[in-house]
Amino acid sequence: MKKIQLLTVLLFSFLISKSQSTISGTLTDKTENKPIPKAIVSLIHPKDSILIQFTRTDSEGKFELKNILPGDYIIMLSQPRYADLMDNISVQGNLRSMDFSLIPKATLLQEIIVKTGSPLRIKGDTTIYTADSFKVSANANVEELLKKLPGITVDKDGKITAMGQTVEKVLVDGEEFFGQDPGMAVKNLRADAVKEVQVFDKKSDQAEFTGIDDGQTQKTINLKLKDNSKHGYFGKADILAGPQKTISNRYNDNLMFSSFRGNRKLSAYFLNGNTGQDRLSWDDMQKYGGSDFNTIVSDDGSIMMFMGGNSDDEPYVDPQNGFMTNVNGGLQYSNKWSDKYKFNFTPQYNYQRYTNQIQSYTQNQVGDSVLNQNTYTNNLVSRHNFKLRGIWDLNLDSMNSLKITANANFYHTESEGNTESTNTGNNGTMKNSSNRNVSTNNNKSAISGNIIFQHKFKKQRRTLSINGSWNILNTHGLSTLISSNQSYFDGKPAGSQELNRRKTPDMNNNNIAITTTYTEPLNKDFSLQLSYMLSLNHGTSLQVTRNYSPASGKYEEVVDSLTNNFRQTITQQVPKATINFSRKKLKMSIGSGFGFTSFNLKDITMDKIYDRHYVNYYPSSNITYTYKPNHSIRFSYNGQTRQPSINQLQPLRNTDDYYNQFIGNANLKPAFGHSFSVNHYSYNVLKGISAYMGGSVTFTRNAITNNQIINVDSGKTITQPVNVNGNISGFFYGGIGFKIKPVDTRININPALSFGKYVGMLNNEKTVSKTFAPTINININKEKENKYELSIYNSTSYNSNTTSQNTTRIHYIINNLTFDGTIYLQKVWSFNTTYNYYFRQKIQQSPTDLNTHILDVKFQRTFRNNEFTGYIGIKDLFDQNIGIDRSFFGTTYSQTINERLKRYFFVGFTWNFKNKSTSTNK
Amino acid sequence: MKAMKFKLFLFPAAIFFYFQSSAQQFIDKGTVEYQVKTNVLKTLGSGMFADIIKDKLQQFKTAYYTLSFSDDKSTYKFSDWDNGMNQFTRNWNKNDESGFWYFDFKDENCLIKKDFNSSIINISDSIPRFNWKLIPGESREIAGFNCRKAQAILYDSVYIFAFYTEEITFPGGPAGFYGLPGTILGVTVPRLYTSWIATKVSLTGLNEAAVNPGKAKKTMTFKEFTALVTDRTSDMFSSSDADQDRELREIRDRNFWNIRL
Repeated sequence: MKKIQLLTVLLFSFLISKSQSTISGTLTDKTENKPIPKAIVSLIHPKDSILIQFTRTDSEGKFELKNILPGDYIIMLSQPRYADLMDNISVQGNLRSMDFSLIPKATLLQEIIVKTGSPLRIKGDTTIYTADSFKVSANANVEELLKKLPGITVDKDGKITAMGQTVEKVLVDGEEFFGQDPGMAVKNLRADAVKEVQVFDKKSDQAEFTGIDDGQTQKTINLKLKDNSKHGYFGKADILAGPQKTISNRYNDNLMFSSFRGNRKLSAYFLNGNTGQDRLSWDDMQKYGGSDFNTIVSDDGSIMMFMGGNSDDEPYVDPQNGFMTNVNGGLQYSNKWSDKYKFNFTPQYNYQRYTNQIQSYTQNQVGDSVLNQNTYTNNLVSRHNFKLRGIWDLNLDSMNSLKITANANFYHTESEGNTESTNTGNNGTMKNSSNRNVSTNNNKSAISGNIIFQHKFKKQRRTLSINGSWNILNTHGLSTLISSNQSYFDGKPAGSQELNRRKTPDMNNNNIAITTTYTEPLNKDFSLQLSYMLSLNHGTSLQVTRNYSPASGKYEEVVDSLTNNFRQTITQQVPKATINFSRKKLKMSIGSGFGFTSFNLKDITMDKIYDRHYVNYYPSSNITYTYKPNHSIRFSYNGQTRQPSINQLQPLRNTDDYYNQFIGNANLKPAFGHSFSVNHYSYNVLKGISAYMGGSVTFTRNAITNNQIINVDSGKTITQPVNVNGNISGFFYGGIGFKIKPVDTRININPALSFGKYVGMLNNEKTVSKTFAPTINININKEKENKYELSIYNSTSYNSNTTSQNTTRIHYIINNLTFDGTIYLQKVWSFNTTYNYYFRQKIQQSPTDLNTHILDVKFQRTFRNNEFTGYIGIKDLFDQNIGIDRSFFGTTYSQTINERLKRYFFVGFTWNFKNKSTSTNK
Repeated sequence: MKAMKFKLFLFPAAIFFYFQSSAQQFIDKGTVEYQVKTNVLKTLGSGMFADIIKDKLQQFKTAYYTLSFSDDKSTYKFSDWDNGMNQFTRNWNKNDESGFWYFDFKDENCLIKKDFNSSIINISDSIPRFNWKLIPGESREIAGFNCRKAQAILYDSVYIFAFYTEEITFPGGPAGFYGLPGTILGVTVPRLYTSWIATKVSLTGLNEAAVNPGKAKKTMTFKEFTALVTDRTSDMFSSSDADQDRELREIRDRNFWNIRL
């Protein structure tokens, strides 16, 4: 066996060596007969001019090309001082003595009359046709127009030929129209939108800007459009209907439309429904909604985008809780002029009608006793909100830019709520019970504006920016309270109180601030940033509470203890200085600000003045060390001051809940927190693993906390904010993400831990409570395009709370498992199901199981290449949807159960449209 | 067997060297400085993200690289950014600064260091073949040298146009371009919106000892590298919207070529 193999190998290699040839020879100067050294001898394929091999002649003019396969070639010999020589050769075996000689250029010049054109040949003319001179039918597209132009033909496949050459590119106003395919523009543009048809040979883009003529040209037609003809529109309509038996039918409509013409863009959206979708999805927000985004692009290449947040002190409503009917509508107009001026205007309207049934349970631990409160609330809120927003962006010149933003928000809210509550003590002893009804009617307006001026100096990295902002907040309303409160002693009824009164809050707040920031580069690595902020705040608050007099049937008698008239003025000056250092792997920044605050509160009713001056510190420093590309660690320290809010300061009692009253504390000092945090991030490209971890700890001095004065016998609680020391809170988190290649599955694991030591006051005594909550989240994803998408998410958390009040420890586990899967069939059908299992461990305070299984299913088919989609499905098949929240705060444990929209069947369709061909829109 | 003797004397269009009288000088060692220019805005495509960046990012990124060659070996690496580049554009393209190419045409091996998604990848392999098509009759003067034209097509769609000078015998060029009978002084790759042009050729100041590959711990071959890049970028760029998808594919392909070359 071996011998035959050896023989075959030898024979084979013999054949190969036989068939690979060597070409060798000498190159000499024709006139002087000397050898030409260092000349290039190249072997080229005659058909496609590909360079096969090359070599240089040695000092004796000799050259050798080895391992040449048999065939026909062109041999080229060249040397800068000589004219090139090209010759056809045929290689069958070794070619020795291939001797050539070259003629020096100098000699040639003497013999031949020099005539060289310029290196650039003028390639073709540009022919221009005026479109309107050629008659086409009313809604004809450009293809029909081209057929009419002399010299241009279009065949049945849409291939365009001009002057006998195939047209490879069609441009619209000098730019490509939706890609490289010449048919796109030709079939989709209207003929009457075209002003001129230009035909020429276009150099490649690259040749045009580098100036290197790469020799590439394409026969090109450029369609110059009449002004204002580049326009189009697109939109989406989504309608859902869900018939119901016990509650009103479900419905949800999303209608969106956007039209563009040149730089002008106009969009509108309209949402109306009662399934809890209160705003546009992220994607739709990009296309149709206003730009609620602020983007900051900083010099070190990082980009931050954040939603401009201004809640105007409106309470947050979770649209998933309760039952909400909403109507939302908005318009967006944006335009750009000469690349310098941009304007964006967004009016929006929002109406919510919201009802909710909430059951809540709160337990307070007071020494060996407990105080349990059970409430049941029924709420109805109706709110109208009208928003206007305008943004002007002006690029004055390359060094200066100006941006002006103006907002106006108007709210009208009416609400009615009825609450029944009982307070019990140990062994369920009745302490008190009450029933109250609160109805409000409120008007609020919030107007704000902002100007940013930025200037770049000639020196690099030296910049100046001035930022001015103002806002005005006005609230005016009335709130009526009717309640009946029953006290108990030793479990037996012992006195009751009826209340019927109305209060009219009237608040006004004006704020104006101006910040100047200046950055100066000290040297290549260091830069200094100085800033100064001045802000003035003036506010008034007038609250009059009147009792109902049955005699007149009106609210007339003023209740002095609940009436107040305040005026506050806060002046702040904050100078700040920061030094930034950046070099290679290390980035550091250290600095501090000082806040000089002057706080003046005048209580007109009591004729008292609170005058306070504070000096706050805002030190901060951070270091980022990128020790390896894609691996970085960051340390940072921040000192933050938190001022008490006006509600916490004003010594006015809130007694709406007769047995849980709140009173302010005008002697509150600002709280100061030291935060230390560490973050580490790494990404290993080769293994595709990303990992991050970090943590932060905050120590708070003079934390503002609540002092609860609880009378265990009557069950009455009075809460007042006070300052305490000793608060610590922190959290750690980590995450690792990787892909398991053999099963093409992505996995993310995120452990986290949060802990805190909270110092509170109970009956004027310090209580310390500690919470400890580790969590672990796992996410598994697997998908195959157009086949299926599967993901599983599981979050397990353990919560534990102990208090110095007693030895009991409240602890429980919560586990949330979600499975989401979609299967695609034949590309147009898809079936999606989402299953969520929420497990809440029962505890003494909540002895019933509160586990929920929620299953949604949806079946969908798309038509006409994703233009239409029809769907049908059921949400919450097991009829278990509910909102449950549990939390600890100091010595208080609370749990809230919100009613939610349960099972409903729905059917709907979505239509995505855009203008492609003949549009009637002009 | 019978070669039809067909002699053709060719005459370059430029006649600048008519007056050259001294002995022909061939350069086999020295340094070449290249100005590398890319139209970065074109590479961003359209869409919300591009709009935000467009204001800050300059249209062109321009950088200077140095090729040092001697004894059929060379190193090519980043030297400087152009003064006109603002801080943002520099930081945006920071990974360019760590590119390094070492070629040894005698032993036919190379070592290339690239920044891929902020990780340095080392490629150590034999030198792959570059199929050049010579375009005789077209030439250009770059950095004072007369350069001939050559063209190559990679993977059926990426066109490369190069200009090389026979007067510098080193068969290399900037970045990943080599394989012509002279040093490549000018290259354009339209698909990447990039051009490499030599601005200065210097015979002095070459530190021959510095022309070495340096150390590299983990290396891979070109094949492994291509597989890695394809795998990492395959799920990054796709979209359900047909127009967007096409554009994203373009960006993905362009990213691939940028890294490959």
